[in-house]
Amino acid sequence: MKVIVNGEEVETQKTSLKELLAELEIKAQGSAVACNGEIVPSSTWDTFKLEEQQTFDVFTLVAGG
Amino acid sequence: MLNDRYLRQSAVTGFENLAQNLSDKRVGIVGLGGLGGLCAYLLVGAGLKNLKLCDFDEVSLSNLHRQVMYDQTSLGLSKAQVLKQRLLNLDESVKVELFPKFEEHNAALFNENLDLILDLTDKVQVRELISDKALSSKVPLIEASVSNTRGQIALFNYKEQNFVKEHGCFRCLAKNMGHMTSPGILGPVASAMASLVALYVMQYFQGQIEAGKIRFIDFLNFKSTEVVLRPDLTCTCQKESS
Repeated sequence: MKVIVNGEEVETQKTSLKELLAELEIKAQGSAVACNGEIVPSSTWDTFKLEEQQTFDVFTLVAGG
Repeated sequence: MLNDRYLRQSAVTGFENLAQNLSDKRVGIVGLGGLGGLCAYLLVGAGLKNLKLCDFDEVSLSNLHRQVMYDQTSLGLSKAQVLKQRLLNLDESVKVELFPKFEEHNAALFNENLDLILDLTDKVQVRELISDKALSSKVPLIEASVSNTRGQIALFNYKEQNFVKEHGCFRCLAKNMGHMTSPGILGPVASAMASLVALYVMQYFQGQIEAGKIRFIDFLNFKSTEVVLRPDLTCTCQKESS
């Protein structure tokens, strides 16, 4: 299936968001992910099912002040 | 003469009454580094008269490239004390209350009578405590942070009845932040982010900001993206709100 990750089309056979992130070598630690403009809580990444043409934005979280 | 102070600000559409609006608000700022120092200065400049400031730290040489409220004469001095004096130099009528550290035992006192809390600290564990206490006190919270060339900012309006159910709390977002540290930071990035926080505060009090969203900014590419916050149903905030 095809999904969009950070503006780029990605072809994947994976079924969950967690698997997709691992395939793209995106570290879970320190990342936030939004699907179609809404944050997907990290505790649900393993059960979050991928669907055709979903749009994901992956962000690097920062904690400095 | 007094009216001249806000003359140019009040000429901006949507901000005509900003100084008057800010004059009776009470804002608490935790963390007086690259974000908190300049942000406090801009807010007092805009008309804020009542602040609670909290930071245990002293000014060090490695702060000076980005923490623009401090200089070589401040080295070794308390950031909170130096900043208070800078704010009084800007507006002698401002009332500033200092807290040495944000902890379990003084959190309720810090949050008392606040209209808004700004969490501009640099440790996730402290941020979680500040969020927990803001939530239990039902005080709106702006969480902003910066590192390297990136920043993020979110408004958690804990005062709104269904906010936590719909958008969660800071802990929901911070679950996989772990023990993040911030090894690098550019001065202009910190100051740009501090200015953005001050603008958010002004827009919040003017009723122009929607809570429950987080904005991620990449200053190097001038790219900014806003997404909706959603709760982590396993977070303690969800048990407490149900």
